[in-house]
Amino acid sequence: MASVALSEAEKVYIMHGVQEDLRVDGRGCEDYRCVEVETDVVSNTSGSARVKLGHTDILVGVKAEMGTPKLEKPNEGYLEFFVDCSANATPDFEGRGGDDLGTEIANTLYRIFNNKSSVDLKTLCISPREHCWVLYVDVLLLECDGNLFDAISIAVKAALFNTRIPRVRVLEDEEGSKDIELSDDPYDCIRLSVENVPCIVTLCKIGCRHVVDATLQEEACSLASLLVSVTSKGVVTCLRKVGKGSLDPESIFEMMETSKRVGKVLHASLQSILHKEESLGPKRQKVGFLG
Amino acid sequence: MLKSKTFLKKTRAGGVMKIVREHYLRDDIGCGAAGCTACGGAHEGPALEPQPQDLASSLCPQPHYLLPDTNVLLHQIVSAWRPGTWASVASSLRLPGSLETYVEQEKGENANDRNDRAIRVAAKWYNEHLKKMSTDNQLQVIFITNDRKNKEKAVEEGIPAFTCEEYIKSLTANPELIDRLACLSEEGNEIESGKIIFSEHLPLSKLQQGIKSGTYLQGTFRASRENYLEATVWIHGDNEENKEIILQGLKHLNRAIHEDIVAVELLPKSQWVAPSSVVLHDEGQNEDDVEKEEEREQMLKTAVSEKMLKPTGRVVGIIKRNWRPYCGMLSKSDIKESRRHLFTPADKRIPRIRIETRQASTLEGRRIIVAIDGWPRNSRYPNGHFVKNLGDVGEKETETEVLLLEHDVPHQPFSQAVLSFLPKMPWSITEKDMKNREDLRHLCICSVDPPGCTDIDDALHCRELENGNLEVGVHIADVSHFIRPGNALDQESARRGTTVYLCEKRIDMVPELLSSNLCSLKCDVDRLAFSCIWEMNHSAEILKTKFTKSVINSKASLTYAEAQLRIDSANIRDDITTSLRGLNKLAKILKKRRIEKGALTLSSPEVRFHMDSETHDPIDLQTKELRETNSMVEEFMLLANISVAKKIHEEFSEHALLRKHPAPPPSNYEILVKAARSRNLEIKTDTAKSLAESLDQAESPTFPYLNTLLRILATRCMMQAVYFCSGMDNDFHHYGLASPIYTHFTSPIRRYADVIVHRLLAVAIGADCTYPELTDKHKLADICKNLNYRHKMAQYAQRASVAFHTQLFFKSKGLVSEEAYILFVRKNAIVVLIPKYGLEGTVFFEEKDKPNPRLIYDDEIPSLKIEDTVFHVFDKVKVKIMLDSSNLQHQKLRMSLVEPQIPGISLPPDDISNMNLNGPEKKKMKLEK
Repeated sequence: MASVALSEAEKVYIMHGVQEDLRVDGRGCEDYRCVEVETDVVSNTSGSARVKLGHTDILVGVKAEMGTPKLEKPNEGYLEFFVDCSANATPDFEGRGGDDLGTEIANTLYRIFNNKSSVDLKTLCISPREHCWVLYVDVLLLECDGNLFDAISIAVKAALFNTRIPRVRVLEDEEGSKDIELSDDPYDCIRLSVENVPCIVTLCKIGCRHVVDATLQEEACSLASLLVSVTSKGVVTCLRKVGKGSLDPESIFEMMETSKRVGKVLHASLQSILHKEESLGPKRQKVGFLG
Repeated sequence: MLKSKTFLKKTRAGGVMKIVREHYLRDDIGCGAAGCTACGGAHEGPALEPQPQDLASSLCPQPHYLLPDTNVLLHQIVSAWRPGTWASVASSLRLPGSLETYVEQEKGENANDRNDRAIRVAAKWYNEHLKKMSTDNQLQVIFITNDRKNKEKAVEEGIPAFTCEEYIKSLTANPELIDRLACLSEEGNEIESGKIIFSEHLPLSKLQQGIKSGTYLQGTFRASRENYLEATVWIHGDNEENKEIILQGLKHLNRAIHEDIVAVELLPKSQWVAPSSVVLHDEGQNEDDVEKEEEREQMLKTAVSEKMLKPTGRVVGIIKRNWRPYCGMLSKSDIKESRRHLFTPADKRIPRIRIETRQASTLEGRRIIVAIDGWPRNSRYPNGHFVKNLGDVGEKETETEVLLLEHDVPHQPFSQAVLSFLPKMPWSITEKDMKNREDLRHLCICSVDPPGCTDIDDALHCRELENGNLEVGVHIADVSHFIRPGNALDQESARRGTTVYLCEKRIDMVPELLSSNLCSLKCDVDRLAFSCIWEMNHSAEILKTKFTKSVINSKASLTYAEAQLRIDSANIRDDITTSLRGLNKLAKILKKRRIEKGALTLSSPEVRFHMDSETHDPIDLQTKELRETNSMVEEFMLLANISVAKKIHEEFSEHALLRKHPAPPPSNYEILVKAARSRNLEIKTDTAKSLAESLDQAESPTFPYLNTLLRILATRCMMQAVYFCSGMDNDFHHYGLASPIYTHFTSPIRRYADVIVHRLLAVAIGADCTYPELTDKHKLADICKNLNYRHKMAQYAQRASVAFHTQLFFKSKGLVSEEAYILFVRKNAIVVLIPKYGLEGTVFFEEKDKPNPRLIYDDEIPSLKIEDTVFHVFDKVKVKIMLDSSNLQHQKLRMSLVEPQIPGISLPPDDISNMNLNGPEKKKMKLEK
């Protein structure tokens, strides 16, 4: 993981600030940095989004491809996650340097989506046991400035929101052989419901308080942090502790409460901004990577 | 400006792919109008006329430009285009000022709607743009569309719009244009009562599904020449059973036209039929005699044994139409003043086409071209429109044009693009050309060809070497030096495939500069050649073979007769003659050896016309003479071809272009064997060698012509020789030449196959570089397919040309009686050959309005007994030849029996008075003269 080296004095300065609910950049403990979201940035994907959280920069592309359903779930499609830690983000990622982090993030994403409610996988089924849509979610880390997980989860949600899966029909002839027919109209497609897609809220324990959306410096001061994936209704779908320090049950409970509160606000603002963007229609001036 | 276009595509594996194309919109396409300042210097490409020609249109009196929509362009451009009519076709294709006229597909709009909108936007843009340009000179752009909705929308948007028909009708100055309009049947334009005759064609998606699942079969529709109610469908693919499906009856044919790719459904076995042997021609003039058709269909269903039944089906849909413009003649409607007439194509496999024209009386008796527009479900005939008038029937130019068109022979002059690849004149051999080339200019090379030959592609030499052996060289024009792979010249010659020789015209495969000059191995000039040089001993055994590109200088261009004369006259002893004598000696040995191996010497009567030098009418006609020198040249050409075939196959086992001649199935020989038996001769057909031997022995001392007749018959039993790619086939044998491998190398000027073989050989000996297509066996197989088709068509065209000239000859000659031999005996006729003219014809014994004579046909012997006279194959008869003009479109020679005399059937030898065959037409013409 990308990290910065801090002197003891700097750490003490940060910790004392947190104690007083005043962080180095002026935020309170439960404040996020400014988040920038843009969807439909990569035209050859089915859905894509780019999220900037402070200097953390994430690009997510969703590609829908046809596959066969898994044996145990014959009438559902599925999602695949892949995280690419670009060496653009930090020189540490060069070569195979980012693989461990990539696998860790991908595994976390699998876990938070591993429930029935987050995405309705049944809508991805084309014909049971034979064809289904597989959504390949590719995450690309462009820059790391702390709080990777939150940024990635926001980007994944935005990209899924943006995803348009072409509508196909299964034609069956008398002999029972099936053929797939694609709709001619490019506007004829399926949208996924992202209402229950969770976002991760990471809480960093600094001193005896915890902060959301820690910067790289703050992360360096923290010994343990808790990843909580929360849906827009405040339901916790997954919990994970990272870091070498330990957390006492009392503070874990406190942190969960915080995450639910923060998560609801985060979801609400994300949802509204996504709808607002979409209402601009196809004529919207794209910012992309030149903005 | 960049726009991206995204669309989804289904991949072959069944997946779905999203494809993004980047569109860079140009901002430098001008409107094309002269004097437009707004578009600046962006005036490249075709420009609009500054002042559109004043076409007096009653709909739009002021000067205007036209903007046709895509469908109008597609369907009407051929028919209605005249210079100046469509002001700027190009501008509608390139959408001027693309920044302003670019249109993106919107939600709920399909691709067609988007295109329609784009054209409307362009039309609007044009009108506004032109208005801005000058206020005093009001130019308008008129939008032409046949789509009702599109037109309504355009009018709504303030664009002057008309349908094509409305506009053309309004052109008061050019009423004849209306005829050329493709009649696309629209509502309200229906011709008939609306009674539906045919069942609907299924949509393509359904057909494909059905073909995949095996309920329908896909095949090529082949109409029958003899019976318009019958057709066969050749099923694609290689399943053995149901290869050929019979279709019978108008409804089952379901509007398919010859050569279409169709989907057929097999009928249950209880409805299977046998191919009928009745000859039926569509003669009805009446439109709605469908009931009568049904009666006729009943006629076809004769009681037959179950064995004769063949898979029968019906057309359910058309996969691909293969319509082309058809030649033929107008059958004027009986009703006076009628504008709808039926057109009878020259090809009997094409149904008659209904066209609308006001100039029926001028078109009558002329050969015209008509294109099919469509075939509605309620119409007995397809609808079409008049395209072109070729000229009067019987006129030589017209008929030549017709036979070229009908045989699909590309005969347009070479395009500028093709000509641009010709070498610049004056041409000479440069240093660069000499690289990889041997200088053989010192050799005493000569060419031997038929008289008047200008495209000499082969030359020969023979000399004694110091070691006593003989060196023999065959030098072939190096056409592949001039035709480089892939360029327009190459593509055009590949398309033409072969030079077509008609009686008085040659349709070149390559431009004349090459065929008659630079590639032609004329005497006393330096020419590039591809040489095949053997070292042989005196018993014509090859000791060494060498291939090389070379430069030669032919010392003499001889005709066969001249060469023969030199060889025969003992007192000529120059180099050329010794060379010829050496060649002749070797050729005799080679020929003997070849015949020993079982090569066939077949015979077909070839005729040659003596043309009147001024009128170019044939004045005499004789069979071609064969000399020793003919066979001498032939022998060495065969040897060269075989040597080259071996070499290229050795080098490119997978993609050598070879020629094979499959052995005919034994059943083909039945006629020959039976015919010979009737003369107490035995013909063995188990191998080519035994066939050749038994043909040699089949002599009759009292009947010297019998052997030739047998050989002519044997030729008819043979299969067609074809080109193929060695990687795609494993049977290479050439039956006729008894050679295990064969190709064409010796005539690259007139055959494209030889050009490819030259290229392969050049690569094999390292004299030229290769290119990807040369070693792609599928591409090569495609080339072979085209070449085989072109060769076949060229042959047919040649035959048709001979037939036409024979007719001309007999027209001028009047009636003649000639001796003839019977070639075949049929149920109601005999086929005879007149050796004097190499002419074949049929003598019918049944005539429409005469009582039928008593005919007894015996298939076993075979013989035909008429009243009391029995006819056998090879019997000598005397026939009278005359021109039958009762069917103007298909004039033909007609033969009637003179000897032996059969009362009531044969004609008395000198009685011409009762000849009433040259219909009334002819008489009238005589009176006029």
